[in-house]
Amino acid sequence: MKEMAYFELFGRISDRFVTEALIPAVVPVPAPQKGFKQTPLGKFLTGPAFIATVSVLAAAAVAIAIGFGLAGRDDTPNAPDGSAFESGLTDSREDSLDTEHMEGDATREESDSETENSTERTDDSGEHPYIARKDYNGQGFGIIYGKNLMGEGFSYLPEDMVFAGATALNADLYERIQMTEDYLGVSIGLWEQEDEEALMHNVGLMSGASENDNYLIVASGQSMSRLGSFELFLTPWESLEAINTKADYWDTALMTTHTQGGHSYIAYSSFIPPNAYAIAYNKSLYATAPTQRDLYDLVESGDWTVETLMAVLGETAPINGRLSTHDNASVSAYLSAMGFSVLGTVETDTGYTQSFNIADRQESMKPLFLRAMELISSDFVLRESLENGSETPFIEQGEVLMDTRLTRELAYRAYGKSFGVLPLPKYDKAQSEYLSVHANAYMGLWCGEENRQMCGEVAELLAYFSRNSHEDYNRAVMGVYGKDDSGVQRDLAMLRIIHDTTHDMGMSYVSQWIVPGLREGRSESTSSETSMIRSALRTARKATGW
Amino acid sequence: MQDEQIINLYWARDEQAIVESDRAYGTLCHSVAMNILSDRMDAEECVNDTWLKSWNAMPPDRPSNLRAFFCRITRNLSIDRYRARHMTKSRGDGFEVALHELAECLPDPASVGDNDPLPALLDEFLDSLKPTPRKLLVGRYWHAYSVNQLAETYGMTPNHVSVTLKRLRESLRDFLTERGYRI
Repeated sequence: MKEMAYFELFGRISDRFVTEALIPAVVPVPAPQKGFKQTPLGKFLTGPAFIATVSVLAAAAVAIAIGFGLAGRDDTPNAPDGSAFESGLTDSREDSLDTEHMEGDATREESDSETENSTERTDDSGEHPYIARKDYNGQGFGIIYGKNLMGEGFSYLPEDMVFAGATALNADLYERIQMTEDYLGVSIGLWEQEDEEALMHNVGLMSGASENDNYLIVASGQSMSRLGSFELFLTPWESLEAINTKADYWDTALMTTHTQGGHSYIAYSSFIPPNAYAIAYNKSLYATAPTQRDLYDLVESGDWTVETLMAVLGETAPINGRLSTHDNASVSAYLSAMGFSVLGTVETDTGYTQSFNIADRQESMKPLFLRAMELISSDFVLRESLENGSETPFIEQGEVLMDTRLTRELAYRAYGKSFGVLPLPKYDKAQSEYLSVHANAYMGLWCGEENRQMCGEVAELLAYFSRNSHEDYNRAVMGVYGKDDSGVQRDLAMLRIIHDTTHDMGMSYVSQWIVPGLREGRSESTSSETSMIRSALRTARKATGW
Repeated sequence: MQDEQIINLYWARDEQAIVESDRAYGTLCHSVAMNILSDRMDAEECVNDTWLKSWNAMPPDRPSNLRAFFCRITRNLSIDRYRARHMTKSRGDGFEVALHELAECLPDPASVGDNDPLPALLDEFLDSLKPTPRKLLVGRYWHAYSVNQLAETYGMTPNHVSVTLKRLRESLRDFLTERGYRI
């Protein structure tokens, strides 16, 4: 074909024009459902009976760990009796929300209707309904977050995926932080935590039991519609007057859930869609396996159970002869399914140890827990976690299935291979729906006596500026999944199943402490985000003396 | 991983270079190949061949623009594969239209030797353009993006893109004709 020679000839232009004209490969696909359905189990998990039980257990854990006697607190029950505690909890919630905090604040009341209206707008002038712009003269303010939880899962996506929204989550959060800085004239420093789960758990637990005034506000994941991928929960939030809890960018239900005796000591960890646990599978490798099963069909028909998974693993083993690896994958995935691996024993350099296995606290999760115990006690050996590098053989076509979090799954897709996604399998066919748990996200806003006003304002502004950010999540998912032009719709269908059946495990954390071990920003990467963090860190450290 | 590090891996003959290349540029190269071939398997093979070719090229090569280096290899491999495939059948889609369009504004390739100044003149012409028209021209005739893709990317209607490209082709033809080329 002669014309191809012209195409070849034009190929001799300089590299700079080539890279300049690049556009990412994104195949438009319909938007996934907005919002995430709360299933019956989800309602139970966020309901008063369950919450009361978990709250009591969390409080007991704090008491045991820190050595505080809860009996001395008039708002805390002496025994973990969920039903008995429930009524007291409800009363105190009402006290807290309606009497102590919201009502009686004329300014707040006036602004409520305004806020409700403003949250309907997609993008307004950027002026908060009742917080006026001010100048704190560059005063520092600190935020800590877990290494792997602030969109970090997206950070290693190729640059050409940026347009697809892959880095939108981080960028959006940083943008809001900058908007808040501008709005208040503050300088916000970000601390990245090396061990996002273990240390942060103890940040919550230990600080909650402290009686000093240095409150740490712990934020946790809820949905993408608020603080990027984070939901703010405050400890004790009612003392921060700037926060408008009635605005719909705050989740009042979750805050009331964690209120005891008029004080919300608890930071809530709710589900964070991109980090729900799931199973990734290598489509192209699976296609070479001596099995005819369509995994998506199995899921859609409700037949995706542990037994099916094990059978599939057996059928795919001849691909590389590593049956044990696949079996281990299923075990690990299954442990994730019931929250075990998420909530393992936590040890910190403060010497504190606490088990966060709460699967045995929930009847609905018990079958999963028991099944996992069976697997543990059998010949299987738990594989290392994703963070320990076991994803490499998966990416390099060595394994068919991989337990993962959705952030990782998104990243796999960016590697240019064809990866699918599956929900975690059911215990058996009697299980009515697929279940997954979310990987926890935490974020702490430092709040001492001297900056309480500013702290409330920062929290409120971050939430306010985040109120329309739901689209960022959609963009990220769409962009990364949309690049695969085969089977996209079925992938999205799997994602929807996962989203709709992902639950918070009801973990509760009390916060008011800063533990040692926080990393002083990233030191290896040279990305612009890192530069910003490091710059902000220096400024904030100087200002706060941290 | 930074480009420099990837290149160093090639020079160290470390096979991790291929893994890192695929991780960083696999998607991009795949899209380059797909634009030309419209076939996932063919595109995948071109991408794999890209790493092999890169492995053989580095060392001695040490590309200053690794992204373009990979894209260029993938493009050339895709062209070869396209040619081989079209010995048997025509694709009959927008890409072939683009090829015909390009023939309207470039001299006969057979008359352009290795030392011909044409590539430099093409650069000169592109430098004379504003960014958006330049990206449209390169996007269409280097990356083989469809008119619709370009329209969506640059916020234009497909018709606007087509008209702009037509004018750019005419300008390029005039530019080269003025410099002695027969088109």
